[in-house]
Amino acid sequence: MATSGDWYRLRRPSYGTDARLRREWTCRRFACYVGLLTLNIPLVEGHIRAAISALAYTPAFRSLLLSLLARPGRVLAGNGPARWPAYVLETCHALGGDLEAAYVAAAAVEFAVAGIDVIDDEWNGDATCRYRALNASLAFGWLAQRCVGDLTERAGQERSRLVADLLAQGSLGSCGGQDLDLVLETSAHVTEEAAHEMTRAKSGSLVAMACQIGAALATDEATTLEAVRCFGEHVGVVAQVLNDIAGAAPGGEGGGSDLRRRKKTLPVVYALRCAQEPALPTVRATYRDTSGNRGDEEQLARAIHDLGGIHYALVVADVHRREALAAVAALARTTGRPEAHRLRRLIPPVQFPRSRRVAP
Amino acid sequence: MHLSAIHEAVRAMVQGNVTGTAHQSGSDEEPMSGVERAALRALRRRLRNVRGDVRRLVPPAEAVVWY
Repeated sequence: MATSGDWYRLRRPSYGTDARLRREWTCRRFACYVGLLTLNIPLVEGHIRAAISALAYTPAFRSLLLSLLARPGRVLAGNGPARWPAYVLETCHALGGDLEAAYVAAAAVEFAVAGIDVIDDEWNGDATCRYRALNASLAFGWLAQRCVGDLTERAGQERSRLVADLLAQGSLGSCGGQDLDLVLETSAHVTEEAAHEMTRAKSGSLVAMACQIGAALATDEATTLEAVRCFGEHVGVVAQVLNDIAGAAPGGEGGGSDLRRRKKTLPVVYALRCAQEPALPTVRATYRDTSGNRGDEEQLARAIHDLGGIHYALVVADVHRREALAAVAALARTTGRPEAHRLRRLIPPVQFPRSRRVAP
Repeated sequence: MHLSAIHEAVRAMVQGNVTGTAHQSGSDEEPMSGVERAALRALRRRLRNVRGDVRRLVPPAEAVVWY
């Protein structure tokens, strides 16, 4: 559903005296305002459940796949936004694509991303649990491919091939970023540029892929697809940097999980560079020590915060947010579709947390 | 993106130099983009508004908690 903010931000282009174009613009603006074309996430859920049930898996494996897709943020979680299908559906709708085909494509994207996320997730259970998850990751990849196959009936062979290419390109880009992330964990000297590149590859390429697949169901124009890729990449980086902040902030939602795994995220790398100053040797020493306890993580989080790591990451996220907003405006202008402004809803807000003074 | 220039600017601001602009334009060869300057201005506004007169009395990082 469009918000009242969307309504006021839709500027009418100069259509002169052409009554038909004016009428069309008014109808589109009204549809955007009242949300006549409400996106149906349950239909994506239906495709996902059907794809899993249709295959002759054992009940235990089916249950494992469904439970992984019901984790927080996933489409079957049922208590929050399903962001990956939303990227596909919103982009497809914004550019006037076939929404019925988009529901199948969104299922393919959800499977592909779930498969990649399983590798990145923290597994505290025993080895069997971890290996089962890795096996499930493989299955998700094949399920994604099967969904793309189903898409052929609905969207035609050419579009289906384009979607398959984009899915492979985005997934492989993200796998490369994931690998870089793991390599950086063990690397002693990591630059901010390397951490930024890792973030762009790991998350930026994945969101760019989801958005491009939505766009590919509407158009095959290379310039539009490139503009959507640019938008998606910025959105992905914003989301990942905000996630990194939560994982490194003292008392943050991530509970210092990134610090526990000694990940070289952007706020951490900033702090490590600051810690090269002679007066701050403890931060580097603590980060090298992998046997750290909870107390060490709190101390690290406090040091990163005090050095300005959180502020720095927020500025980087804000830069990408502004770039994404500019990309949306350019997309709406070049395609002549006011619905493109709806894509702003996909950009995570970047806000400095509420501040409070404490006694010195 | 000019990550090093942003690093220097944020570091200066966190250390209390919230009014300075010397670090905020990047190098002569590679000036910062408009959005990079705008994001830094947003941070500077925030720091200035929160700290106010307390920044002269205590180190900024100890005076303000951002979460």
